[in-house]
Parts: sequence; structure tokens; C-alpha cells
Amino acid sequence: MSDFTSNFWNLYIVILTVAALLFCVWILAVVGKREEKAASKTTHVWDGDLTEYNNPLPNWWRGLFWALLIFSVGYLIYYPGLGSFKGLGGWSQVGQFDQEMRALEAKTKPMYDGFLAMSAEDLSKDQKAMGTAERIFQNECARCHGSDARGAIGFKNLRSGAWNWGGSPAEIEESIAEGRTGVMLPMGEALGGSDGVQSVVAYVRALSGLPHDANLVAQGEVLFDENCTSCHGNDARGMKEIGAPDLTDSDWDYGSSEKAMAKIVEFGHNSELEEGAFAMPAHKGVLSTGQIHLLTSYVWGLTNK
Amino acid sequence: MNNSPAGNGTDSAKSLFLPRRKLYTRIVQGTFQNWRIAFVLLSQVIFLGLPWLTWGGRQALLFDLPARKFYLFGTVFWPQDIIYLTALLIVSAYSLFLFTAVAGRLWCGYACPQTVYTELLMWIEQAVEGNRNARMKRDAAPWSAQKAGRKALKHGLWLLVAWWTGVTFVGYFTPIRELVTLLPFGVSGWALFWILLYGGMVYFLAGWMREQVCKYMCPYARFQSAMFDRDTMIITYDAARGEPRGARNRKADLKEARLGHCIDCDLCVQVCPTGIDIRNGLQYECIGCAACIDVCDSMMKKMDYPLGLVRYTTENAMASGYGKKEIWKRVLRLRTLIYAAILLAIMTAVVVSLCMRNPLKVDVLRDRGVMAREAAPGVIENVYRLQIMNTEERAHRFIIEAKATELPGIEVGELEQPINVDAASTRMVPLSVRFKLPREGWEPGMYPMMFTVQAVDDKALRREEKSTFMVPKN
Amino acid sequence: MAVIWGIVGLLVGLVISVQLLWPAFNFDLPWLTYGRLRPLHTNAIIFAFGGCALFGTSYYIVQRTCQTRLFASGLASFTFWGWQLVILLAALSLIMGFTTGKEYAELEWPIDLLIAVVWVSYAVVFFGTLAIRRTPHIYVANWFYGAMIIAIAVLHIFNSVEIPVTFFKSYSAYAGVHDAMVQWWYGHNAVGFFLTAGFLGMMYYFVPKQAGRPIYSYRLSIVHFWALIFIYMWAGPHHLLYTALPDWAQTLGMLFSVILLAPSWGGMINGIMTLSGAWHRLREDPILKFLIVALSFYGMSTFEGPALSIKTINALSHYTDWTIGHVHSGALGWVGFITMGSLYYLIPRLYGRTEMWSVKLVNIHFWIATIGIVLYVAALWIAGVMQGLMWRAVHEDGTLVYTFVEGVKASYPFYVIRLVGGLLYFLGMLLMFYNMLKTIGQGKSVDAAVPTATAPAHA
Repeated sequence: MSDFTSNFWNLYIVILTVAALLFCVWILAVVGKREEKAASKTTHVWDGDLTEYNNPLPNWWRGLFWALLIFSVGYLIYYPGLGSFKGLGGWSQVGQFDQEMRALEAKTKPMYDGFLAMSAEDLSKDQKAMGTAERIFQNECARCHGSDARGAIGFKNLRSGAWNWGGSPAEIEESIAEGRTGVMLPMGEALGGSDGVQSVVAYVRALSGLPHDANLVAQGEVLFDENCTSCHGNDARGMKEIGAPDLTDSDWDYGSSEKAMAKIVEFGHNSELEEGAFAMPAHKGVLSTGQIHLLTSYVWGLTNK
Repeated sequence: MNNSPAGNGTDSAKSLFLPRRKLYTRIVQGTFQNWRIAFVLLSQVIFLGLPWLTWGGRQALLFDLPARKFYLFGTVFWPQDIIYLTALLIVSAYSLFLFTAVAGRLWCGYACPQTVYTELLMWIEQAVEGNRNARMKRDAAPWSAQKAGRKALKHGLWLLVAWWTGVTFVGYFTPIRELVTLLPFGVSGWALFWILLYGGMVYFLAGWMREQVCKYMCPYARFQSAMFDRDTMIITYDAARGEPRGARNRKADLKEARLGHCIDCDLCVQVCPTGIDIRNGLQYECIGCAACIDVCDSMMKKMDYPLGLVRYTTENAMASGYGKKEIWKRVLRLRTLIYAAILLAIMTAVVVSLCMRNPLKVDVLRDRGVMAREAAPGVIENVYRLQIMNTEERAHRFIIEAKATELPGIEVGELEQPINVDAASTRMVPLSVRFKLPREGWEPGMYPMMFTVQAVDDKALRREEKSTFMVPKN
Repeated sequence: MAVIWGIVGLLVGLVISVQLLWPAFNFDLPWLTYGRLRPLHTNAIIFAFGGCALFGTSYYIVQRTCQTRLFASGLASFTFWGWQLVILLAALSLIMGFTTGKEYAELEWPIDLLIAVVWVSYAVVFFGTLAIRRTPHIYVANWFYGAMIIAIAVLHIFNSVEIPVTFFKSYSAYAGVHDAMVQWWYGHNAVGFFLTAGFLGMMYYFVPKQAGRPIYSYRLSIVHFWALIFIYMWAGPHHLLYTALPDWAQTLGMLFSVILLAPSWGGMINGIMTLSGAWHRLREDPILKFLIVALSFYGMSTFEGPALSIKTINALSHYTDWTIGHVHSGALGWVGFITMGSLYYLIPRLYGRTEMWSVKLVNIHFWIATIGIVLYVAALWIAGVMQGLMWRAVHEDGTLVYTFVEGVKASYPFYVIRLVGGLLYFLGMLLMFYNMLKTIGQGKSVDAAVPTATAPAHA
């Protein structure tokens, strides 16, 4: 781009701008110059009866025009406008944005400082703070987790009390700040095809008391012990270090139907690689620590009244 | 070449094309002037006084822009209520149409802020600098300490009025009692800007610009003239009666002297705030202030002639010699009746809607992420957010219910009720609505449903909002 | 006495097309999808209604004031048929969903080419006629028409530089913010030169003609014409305040928009002061009423425009219905009224009459249109303010109070009022159409006599 190597466009803009303003000054000062003598008529006649007076410009209009021109010169000195000249005022729209954001931060800082000084447990009892938390939740979290925080298929239900990554305030805070990426390996092959998958599903459903085919449970248990316990644990209660969910409770992130469960077991799920699957994104750059802390206590408070 | 309009003397045409002459308006006394004085005083008392009224511990009239709340005595208006402002605008516009159709530029002559402030500043001018002749003499005289002193005093007083007007104006937007304690340097930059802008406008437009505002700048002035018709009562010089004009002895026999009633005293020109001669017929500068009527009537009285050489009358009346009765009959013509009917309809609608105004507002927002989901086997759940806006100045607690005639047994899911909403504030309540499918299943689709929000502590405080409930395909 | 038959027929055709095109699209009944009808509405109003009015009046005026026949009247007929074809193609292609996606320039490249050809022919006819004029000076109305023709040619050609992919699809030659900048340079100047300069030309002929008064100030017309031409070209970026456009471009756009107040008002002063000597006639002459109200709206819109371009105000008003209200106060109030006034002057004169079939109907049209316009504009202004207030409302903690859809819900009653206003305005237009048919039916099409080109006698 020539912008980087030459000053041409800069000068082009400056010269054009100044020329346009000077033109206005000229036409106002010279062509529109003041004449005190009573107006005459021009001698032009068109179309039989069209004629023109030649009255002087109204003074207030002339004054208005001058005032606008003077204003524009002042404005161009103070604000960026003349090519790459930044203006004495140092204004820029990015600067204005930053300034307004900083002003908001400064305004809300005492409030958030107060929140940070409180534990999540105490904070979740604070009505006013929770009002703010709820609004942030609606803005930032509800799109996936639902306005009522009960989630949807593929999005965690935050009111179930079943936590894949741990439900303590510290763990929730980490989930929000750093994000979470879970992986369920595709087990179809290892389980020997769909029969194996069906029996594992039947076993898991038995664990959580869902209707199941009792004939498959025994085989399922064998397959489960061989293939699944390294992540989900010997007791199938999950492992929060890697986000493996508890399979004995009634909370199912991807649906509780046999079909849905079989699909996950067979094909797995990788929220990082798979298209159409979603990871919990990290929010530490998006939200301030105070806001994350506040949201933590809100989310924690949903299941800990 | 025909370009001289019929009926208009050449004088006005000439005067138009001279640079502005400074006007030394003579202040008159008379019926219409009294009306104007009344309007000036009334408007100023209202304007200056209103912000000082309090209501329930706060300013009675306050437009709190940052908070988006507009306090009007017992009522708090929210941005959603701004439709009343539209109604106000429309009513103002149609009133302007109506009044102008009936009797010309009544607004300009009596009620426009430009007229009111000009009148105010002219009184000050008269008090400080004396009457018209004294002012003219002083201006013509060379500068002296006395002249400078008078001028300084006048401008000082003008600026004082302007300053206080500006402060009052801003006082409608920030609490005025707080504002005045901060004056002059403690107020925020924007407040100062608006004080100076509004005050400056009063000072320059009403002090310096005066009739030029009406003559050149104001688009409404033009608009109104287009609202005239042949039956509009306009300040008119009765040329048939007045001409030929001329000076005469009070006892002179008019027939013998071949004179009309106009004594050519020039007072009507001297009192005119826009500097025209009403005897030249209808001119666009005429703001309809009727000062010329007042002054002419006072002369007619002195001369023992009948009043009303200059009077409010219509073009048709002049042409056909209508009496008062006919003029008034024609005031009630189709056009004015239609305006009046529209106005009445709008105002009735506004009053009715204000009386029935529900201080509780509810917006229902369906979740877009989740259209419908299974809460438990056979239980369909839809998620909503209810924005509950309590515009009353006390807190309320609300119960939310869901109803749908086509979905028996539909109900709001787990929710801590009642819900507390603070005074004049809004609360977003996320909730789910559940519908237990009967065993035989249910036709999938969108079903109309209704939310009812009912205050626990006030039976009358209740609102229903429509929404939809989705039963998904299996 | 030169007579041009074809021009008369042409004008009538124009006028009829104006009448037919405008009403059908005046209010947005979504009988087809909104996204397709909306560009059709803007194109129909600006280019079909406005364009035909400009073509027709400019051909009339340039002949009257140059006191000569049109240069190349065959080409003039071509511009008429060509323009009608453009309108027809535009209507069809937009309904069928072919669009470049550039506001006010949605038409695809084959139509763009046709427009360019027609427009250049128009320029040839117009400037050719000026060249063979039999008057020593060029009348002020013609300056404005001329400026409009040149500027629109430049704007159209540069903005429509696009790379055809198929016969029905092309892509703009500019990318990203450059495209936006060029688009709004075009977009705003379509307003500036088409709807302002062009219609000022109309004003400069029909106002003095109908008022029977001389133009107020030749000097003022020179100053405000040149200032307007020079400054308008810069105003485009005010559509892109607080966007990716560089700061300097935004500043210049805003600044020149603000300065524009003075030259714009120059035109208003000249128009109104020209009328000032004929004031008493406002009581009975509805054509003058149309003209004066048009000038009032012109004054209001050109005050509102610079105000809206100021960044602080723009931050509230941008993207809201305030902008729509502003455009309509300009389009309905200024463009619409000045055109109606002009046509009411023109139509009877083309048919050997001096007055419309019914002056009373003209009056009624005026009253209805003013009632309608008040409803329309007041509703949208306030709706815009409300939307701005709601969108930017924040809680103490910096979170937004309202979601977007709540603003939409709150706008609903305003749209009802606006529809009523639009309907009334439309009704007025129908009256005009009826009145015109009657006038034509009663009159005989006469040759628009071109005034003899004797050296004007100085009165």
C-alpha cells in the first residue's frame, strides 16, 4: 500500500480540505461581499417574465456561514481530520471507547472490589449482587446455558447439581475463567461394534435407574470395566480432573434416550475438534475477575441455597 | 413584465430589499397587549416555577435522561411511554393548524418563546433606556458615560434573565435544587454547555435578532401562512374605511376634507415588532401580535371614530361585508371542524390511555438457544425471560402464571415466587414453562399462550402478555 | 414560436408514470418480502418519481428559459423510453431478488449500464440545449439541473464499478471499508444532488413563476449554489460515524455536513423571499401553499441533517427510525410538495389551460397531505428517540437494560401512526391523479410555446 511509503494521500486530503474551505471563504467574502446600497435588479430576463433582484446576502446568514467556517477550522485543529494530522485534542474513536470503558470500570470498581473481598458462598446470599450477576449471566451465559440455566442438549444444565469438572466455587471459577474442553473417545470399535455399544448403554442405564434391557447388563458391565473405567472411574462416578461425567446420576448432557447415549458411546465427542460441538470458552479476557467471581457465586448459588 | 402583485403597495417591496434597519418598537397598551402580557407572565411563572415544585420528596417534573425516567408529578414515564410525546407533538401541530386556520398566527403573536422572551427583554429595555423616542435619541447621540451606563445595565439585565432561563431549562433535566448550589463553576460541563446555549439563545435571538428570527429563520412561520384561507381571521386594515388617509383636525368634516378614517399617525408602524406597515395588506412578516390594533383603537377613541379600523377579520368578510355573525359561522367550516375532530379524538385517546395506563409493564422474550426441551420424560419445557418493569415508586411482589387454552395443565416451572421488583426499576426473570404430554401424545406446533403477572400486594396491578409455547416433533 | 410535439407527449407520460409509481409503493404492505420491496420502494420514489419529475421539469424549464427547442429531440425521446425501461427492469429485477446489496444502487450491472447510457444522453440533450440557447445568461434553475446531471453521472459510474460474474450477479470492485465509503459518498450525494440540487432547480423556476415575482437575490443564488456543490460532495461519511472508517474521514464528513447548513438555507431564503411579495395570495393559491410548505420542510430537514451528523447526536440517532423520519420529512415534505406544486402549475399549461380542473381538489390534497405528514414524521422521530434511549440504557453495573426485541415491541404503536400518516398522504396523491385525468380530459394538448427569443426588454 502506498499509504505506508508515500505522503501523497495525506497531502491530497489536506490540500483538498483546505481548498474546499478556502473556496467557501472566497465565495462568501468576494462574491457575496457586503453592499449597503439598495439592491438593483439584474438585467437578465427569461421566459417572458422571469427576472432577478440582486439583493445583498442577509447579514445573519452571512454571519451563520462565517461562524460555521470558523467552527470548522477550530474543529479541524482540535480533532483529527486533516489527513494524518491527529488534532491537538488527541481524540480518536478508539480512544473514546477506551475512555468510556475505563470510566465504567472506575465507576464499578468499588462494587466489584467489594465482591472480590467476599467469599462466593457469602456473595451468593447478597440479593443485590445476585441481581447484577443474573444480568451478566443473561448477557454472557444464557445463549448456551439457557435463560433459566437449565442448559440444552450439549450445554450443561447448571441447576442439576451434577458437575463434570467439580462443583466447588474454586472449580466453577476455573471453568468460567479458563474454559473447558472435554473429550469422549469413540468407543464403537473397541466395544466390538453396535452390540457391544448396546450392552454398555444398557449397563449404564441400569446404573442410573433408567429403563433398560436387563439381558445385556452383564455383558455391558464386563465391557465397561475393560474400556470405560480409566476415565469414568471404577464406580462410574466420573473423574472431575478430566471432566468425565458421573454416569450414575440422572443428569445427561447429550440426552437420556438410548439412541442419544449409543451415539455418544459409539462415535465419541470431542468438543475441540468436532464441528457443531461446543466447548466452554474461556472468559478471562472477556469478563473481569470481579465479574467472574460474581458469576461463580451465582452459578454456585443455583444449587447451594 | 408583470411582477407587481395586486394589492400590495410598493413600499413593503422596497423596505424588503434594504439592509436591516434597527427597530425601535413602541410598546402599546390595549386589549391584545393585555392578552400578551398575560401569556408572558403565565408562561414564565410556569416555566420558572415548575422545577421548584416537589412531589413526594422529589422534584415534581424531572426528565432524568441518563436513567431514562421522566417524572411528572405522581407518574414516572419510561422510554416505552414516549408515545405520549408523539401525541403531544401531533396535538401541537394540529392545534397550530386549527388556530391558524381560525385566526392566523396566534401562536406567533402570543405564545411563541421568541415572542415571549422578546417581549420580556423589551420591557427591560423600556425600563432602562426609556421609551421609543428616548432610545432613538440616545442611539443617535455620541457615546457618553450615561449612554454606556444605560446600555451596560440593559445588557446586564438581559444576560441575567438569559442566564436564569438557561439554568431553569437545565433544571428540568437535573434536580434544580442541587444544580443551583453548584453554580456557577461546580456544574458539570454538559450542564454548563446547555445553560450557556439556551441562555445564549435567549440573549441573542430575543435581544439582538428579534424579528429577523421570524422573518428569515423560522420555518413554522412559513408553514402557518400556508394554513390561511379566505375565512381566516387576520389582522387587517380596512382600506375602504381608512383611505384616503391623512392628518386632520379632530373636528374636521371628513366628507369635505375627502379623508377616510386613517389619520396617518404612523403609530401602527411604530409599534410593529417586525417593522411593517399593516396598511399594505397581508405580509409575511406579520406575526399577528395585534399591537397595531391596540394602538389604532386608542387613536380612534381619541378621534371619536368607531374602533376597528385595523381589526381581526377575514378576506371573505372584507369582500362581502360580513358581520360578526357570518364570520363566526364561517369559522365553523369543514376544515376547522375536521381539525377539531381529529384533535378531540387524539386528546381523548391520550386521556383515556393515561387513565388506564398500567404502571406495570412486561416484556416476554422467548429463549432463542433452546426452542423446546424435555425436562423429564414426557414433560416439554420452553424457556422465557420476563422483563418486569415496575414503574411505580414503590416496590411490589409479583406472581407469574402461565395459561394456554389449548394446553391443559401448563404451568410455570420451579421458580421462587413471589418475585420482588424494587421501586421504579426493572427485573429480568428467567423461567421455564412446562407442559406434561398426555400419554397419547400431542400435535407438534406453536401454541398461543399467555403470561399473567399479578402483584401480590395490589389486586389492580396486573398485566397479561401473549407468547407462544412450542411442542416439538418427537 | 417553436413547438415540440414529442415533448408534450413525453411529459404526460412522465407525469402519469410518476402518479402510478409513487402510490403503489408508498407504504410497505408486505405482500412480497420486505427485503425486496424496500429497495423497490426507495428506487421507485427516488428514481422513478423523483427522476421522472426531474426529467420532465428540466426539459420544460430548459426550453422555456433558453427560449429554444430541445437539442436533439430524438435523443430526448430516447431518454424518456430508456428511463421507463430502467424503471421497469428495476421493478422486475428487484422483485425477483436480483440486487447488488448497495443501498440506492441495488440494480444489477446490465441495468447500471443502461442507466449510464440514458443519463449521458440526458446530459447531451440538456447541455446541448443550453449551448443553443437564445438568452444571454443561463437561468439559475439550469445551474442546479446541470450540477445534478454531472454529479449523478460521476457518482453512478464510480459507485457502480463492479465485476460481473453472471448476467444477473456482480460484485463491487471495492472491498471492505472502501466499498462502504464509496457507497455512502454515492448514497448521500444521491440525496444531495438528486433530491436537493435537482429539486432546487425546480424551485427556482416554479416559485418565481407562480408567485409572479423576481428571484430575491442573484448574488445569494451564486454563493449558495457554489458552496452547496463544493460542500455536499464531502458529506457522505456521516453515514459511517463510529465505524471502521478512519477518524479523519469521519471528522471531515461530519464537519462538512454541519457547514452545509448555511448553503442549504441559502436556497430556502431565496425561495421564501421570492414568495414574500406575493404573500396575500397564499390564502387562495394552493400551488403557492405547496411550494411554501415544501420550502419550510426543506429548511427543517436541512437543519435536522447537520444536527444529526454531529457525532454526539448521531450516537443516539444512528440506526434508529429517527433517520427514517428525517428522510421522510425531506422526501414527503420537500421533494413531494415541491413536485406537486410544480406539476399543478405545469399540467394545465401543457393542455392550454391556466388552472387545474378543480382547484378545490388541489386545496383538499394540500390539507390531507399536511395532516398525513405530521403523523408520519412525528411518529418516526419519536420512535427513533425511544429506540436510541432504550438501546443505550444501561444498569448501574454496565449491563444493558433492554434486549433489541423489546425496542421493536415498543415501536409497534408508532408504526401504526406512521401507516395512517402514509395512507393520508397516498390518498392526497390519488386525488391529484384524478384531478390530472380530469384536467387532461377537458383540455386539448397544446404546444408548449417557447417564448420568442427577442432580446428581452429591460423593464
